[in-house]
Amino acid sequence: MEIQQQQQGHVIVLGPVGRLDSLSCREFETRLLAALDQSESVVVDCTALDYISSAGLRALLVAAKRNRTSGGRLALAVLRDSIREVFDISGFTAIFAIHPTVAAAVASLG
Amino acid sequence: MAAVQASRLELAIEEALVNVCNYAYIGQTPTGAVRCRVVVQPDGLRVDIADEGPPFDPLARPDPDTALDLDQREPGGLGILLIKSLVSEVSYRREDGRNVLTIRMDKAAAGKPDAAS
Repeated sequence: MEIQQQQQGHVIVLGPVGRLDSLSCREFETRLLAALDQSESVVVDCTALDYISSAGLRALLVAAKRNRTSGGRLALAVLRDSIREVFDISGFTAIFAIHPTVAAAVASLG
Repeated sequence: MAAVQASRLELAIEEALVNVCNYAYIGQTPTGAVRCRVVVQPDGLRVDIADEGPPFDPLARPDPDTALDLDQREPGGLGILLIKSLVSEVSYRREDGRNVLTIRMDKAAAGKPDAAS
């Protein structure tokens, strides 16, 4: 899958594009864990994310749990309604820091 | 079908198919088939997903506790929870040596309790 990456100050912003499903989740998880190795602060920008399945949720959970022990910080930004619904059902709305804009997410890690 | 319902159904079907691919034929060689049948109904769609693995009712598994905090959450189990939460109806039956998961989705989202609440 296409995953955009940019640096904003000390924060890495990862932007997965399209579908985060059982086919693309491994690549996304690898990229997310690599970003967290590289920077303590990572924002996942979901502006261009159309779809997430439980495989994608799993990748996020794995990263968040590892992050917890390594002291890194992870925030999410711009969830569309269909993705927020999946997050709500899964209890992820409560365990992730979710921001309405990328700027707010980056600022929260500043 | 309303776009919101179509997108929920798409997710439910991915979860159901991935579940079969990951678990139905564990340790079996050669592995078996998965059949997916879509029936168009006046008010929605019915999708039957069948495998020939050992009897297994995915709906009988307890749902993961989604209220746990991050430290206590373990990956897994969310696929079936998503199916149960997103579709209009889901049921399991064992029939002619197959596991059959039947998903029904209404065309319109109206009247369906908001799964997000």
